[in-house]
Amino acid sequence: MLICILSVVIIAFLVPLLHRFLGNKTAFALAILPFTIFVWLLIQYLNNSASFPLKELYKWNPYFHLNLAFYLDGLSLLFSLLISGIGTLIYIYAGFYMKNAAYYSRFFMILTLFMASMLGLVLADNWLVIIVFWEMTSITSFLLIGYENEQEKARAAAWQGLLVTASGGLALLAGMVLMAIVTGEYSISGLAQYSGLLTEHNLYLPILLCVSFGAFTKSAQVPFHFWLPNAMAAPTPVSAYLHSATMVKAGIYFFARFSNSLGNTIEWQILLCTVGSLTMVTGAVMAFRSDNLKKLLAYSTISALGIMVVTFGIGTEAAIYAGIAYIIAHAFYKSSLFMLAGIIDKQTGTKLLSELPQLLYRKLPLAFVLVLTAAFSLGGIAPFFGFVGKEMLLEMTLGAPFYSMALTVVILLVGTIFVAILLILTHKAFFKKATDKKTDLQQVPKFFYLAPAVTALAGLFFGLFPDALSDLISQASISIDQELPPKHLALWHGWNLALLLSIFSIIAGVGLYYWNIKKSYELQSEFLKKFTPSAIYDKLFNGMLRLAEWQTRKIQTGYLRYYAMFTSLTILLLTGFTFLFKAGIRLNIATIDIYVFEVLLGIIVMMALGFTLITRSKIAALLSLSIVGIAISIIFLEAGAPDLAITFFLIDTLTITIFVLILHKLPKKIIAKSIFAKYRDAFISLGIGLLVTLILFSLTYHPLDSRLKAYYAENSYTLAKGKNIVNVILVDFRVLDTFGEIIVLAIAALGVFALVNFSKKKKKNRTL
Amino acid sequence: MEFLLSILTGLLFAAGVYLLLHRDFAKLVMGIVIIGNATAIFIFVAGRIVRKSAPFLDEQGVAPDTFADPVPQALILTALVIGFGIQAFALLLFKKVYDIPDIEEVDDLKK
Amino acid sequence: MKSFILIISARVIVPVMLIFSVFLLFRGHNLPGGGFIGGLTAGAAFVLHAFAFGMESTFKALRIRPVKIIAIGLLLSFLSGVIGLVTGEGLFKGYWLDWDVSFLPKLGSPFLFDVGVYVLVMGIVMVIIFPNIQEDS
Repeated sequence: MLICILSVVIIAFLVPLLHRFLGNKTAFALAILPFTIFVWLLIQYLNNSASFPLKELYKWNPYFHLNLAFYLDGLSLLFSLLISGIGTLIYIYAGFYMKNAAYYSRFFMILTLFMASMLGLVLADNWLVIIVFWEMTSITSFLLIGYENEQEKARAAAWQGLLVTASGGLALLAGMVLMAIVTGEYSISGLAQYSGLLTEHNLYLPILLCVSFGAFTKSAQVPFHFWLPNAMAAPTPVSAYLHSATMVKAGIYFFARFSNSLGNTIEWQILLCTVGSLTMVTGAVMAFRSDNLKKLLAYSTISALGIMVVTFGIGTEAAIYAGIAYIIAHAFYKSSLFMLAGIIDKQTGTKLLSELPQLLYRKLPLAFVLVLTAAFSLGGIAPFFGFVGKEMLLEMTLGAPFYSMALTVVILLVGTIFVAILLILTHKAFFKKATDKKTDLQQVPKFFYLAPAVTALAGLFFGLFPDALSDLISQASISIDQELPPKHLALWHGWNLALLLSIFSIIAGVGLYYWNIKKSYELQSEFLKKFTPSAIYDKLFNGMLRLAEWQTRKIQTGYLRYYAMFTSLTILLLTGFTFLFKAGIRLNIATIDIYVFEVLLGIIVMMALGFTLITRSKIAALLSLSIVGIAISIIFLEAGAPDLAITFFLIDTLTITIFVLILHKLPKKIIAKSIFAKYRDAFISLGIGLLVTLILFSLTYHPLDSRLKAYYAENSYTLAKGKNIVNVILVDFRVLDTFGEIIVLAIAALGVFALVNFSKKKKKNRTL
Repeated sequence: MEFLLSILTGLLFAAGVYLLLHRDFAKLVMGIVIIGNATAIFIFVAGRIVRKSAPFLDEQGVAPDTFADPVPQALILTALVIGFGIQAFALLLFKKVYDIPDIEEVDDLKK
Repeated sequence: MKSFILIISARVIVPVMLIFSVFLLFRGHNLPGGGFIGGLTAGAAFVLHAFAFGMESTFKALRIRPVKIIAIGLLLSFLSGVIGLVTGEGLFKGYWLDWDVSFLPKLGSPFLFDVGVYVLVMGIVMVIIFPNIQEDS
């Protein structure tokens, strides 16, 4: 599995090279790649399904529990089959769609990278790895939405998609970290055994909210749905692949994955069912009202995603089967419809339903038939696979343990609207009687229709023979809940309530369509527009930018001392807060011993320091500074550190020497602080001084029992043959450290050297 | 002595930070020097202080009963020398900056 | 800016400082002193020399550019580490010669390291301070 993903990544980076040799045929060559993976997965499924789950583990950084762990069970098999299978078709389709595009190789490179990350996402077992792939899908999606980078709208949409899904990624990360804290488990497959622990834990609600937030953003659930319709700025193959068939289902995948560890609680059911129901109704209504073909499909995708969320929210046996069947059905018809929308767009030059030429079915008979096939599946009409899915959904809601009635009504409502959408896609689009615009149809190659035809016919085939998918769906269901019995799908369930409701929804849908076609209404008022999630997002986004700008202006003033001030203040606040509230002030009064000599030294230092601060003469400041230095070296001598005393003395001397040498180059006047600045700086610096003193009081509260000291005392003569322990430490025990330090010194000296010689390149005899 | 030195370290830090916030180059560098010194003493005090008995062994290579901790001393010794290098670098840098016309105080760096 | 007093005193003080710096280096292993202190003293001696006699004569006396002195110091220190590697004990493992000379400390790789530090610090002091004097003369 690692090889699969890795090869896709490698090939992704070879795309520009391939493009140089193959030109516009690159896409068809690339289609071999997902097809190979598809076949490999099929072979795994046919031959090894008994030994599922297949596991692979490569150690990456075990210390951080970071392993390249991969895991192939029914669920990940289903998703990776979808990714690679639809991927193959998308490549073929995109080969026509992107022909002679400006950034051809870039597009396919990112698309291939996306496929790799999507495969990684569904195959990975370690959640750290999953997060990486998750973010990769967000980033590649961002790049693909913003493919037409010269368009303001595309860029904005890309940003929106990235920010929404990436914030979801952050929430997901938080949720995963919390789960790891609770369970100590880093693999997804191992989480199921902690189900009890997780759902009983205090942190369950935060975990659930974080994980769902991540999945909701990715799967475009209300109120985060707005990015998906905007993402339609991407080229149509991207919409068909990322934004209907694969990436947006990543959130659904997570709900499926976590339903055995986090699911089956009231919180889970309420959260998922509420959000899912809201989403499916919102999506369906918005889709119904859309004029733009791609937006219509995007909203109906949102609606379908809501349905899937609800199925995993309910989580009963019937619900899991229904959810998985619906994922497959949706992938078939939606990718097909998207691709057809792209073809129609190419041929007629418009995406708007109202601008389509009249009686289009005569001009594009093939497109019409295919749209019809796919749309029937969408509408849930027999004998298409969508019908099977819809039947299962109704069965699920009828048998749901809670709110059965409400859920059934919602599903029925959505089903009705879907039927109406089916009529919009077929009747309204293709049988329009009159139009103002005359458009000439562009010719496209016949094979352009191949990819949508395959998915559309697959919907028909599996509708007629749903049992072919039974095993796959059962496998996937088992990986969600191991005790589920295998399920057999059938087109005909006999005359039951579900079928009656289904027929009712079809009739109601037709009614809705004809009622609406006569009425054109304007519901949206200006007031409502302000409070749509999209508008709120815009406000937040712009507000954030303004805040960042303001804050940067305030902090990054360009004045050195303000940088120093903010740094000092931060130190003061953070250290002070931590110190006072975590450690507390302690002072060991017993150890206070005051010698007159030392007090005198201290007074000298203080006087010299004060003089340095207030004097206006630079030389005077310097001299008093040297007094401070000498006093400090005497203190070192007093405290049993003659080596330090000598070093300090020498360095003080040399520093003062340099200072004096430079001083007369500097401007003579000392710039005084303003009164306000004086008080402010005094306040900050005294605060830091006080903090340091208090920290030292607390630090020295207990006498230090240093084993290191005893060790060095014992061994410095026997092992290192020296009696000056300080020197022995420097040149023997810790010699490597000293070596590093003298390298630093040498580098500092080289810096000086470079600085000096920088402006003197012309000078012949460089003496240093 | 730790008590006294703790207060002294605090004062040194305060003076250093005060100078660091100055608009004048010379004072700024003095601030850097003082903060460097203060840090050395900080580490020294944190390693506890033993009066007047340096960490030396006698002729037979036996340690005296009480002696100052050599570890912080070794740390500070190299730190001091490195600090010297950095201070010198800063000084030279400022000198170079002054060679640029129109620069007379720290605030002018913004230009 | 050559001062007569400075020149006369420098003639005496510079050699004394240099000898004293070597003395500090030698006794560093057993008593206060060592490579850092010795190097600083030696560097200071050359700085004094440059003050008194001017940069040119100091360079003449040195015969070698200070940057190279730094390099030599670093090389010596590194070589002291390589000794351990050659004897098979591992990088920077101490190695001592058998014979003792009364006025020298115990000879061995740590001492060589200290000598390297001495040379390096001496060079650094010169590199840092000389450019500041240079422009006067």
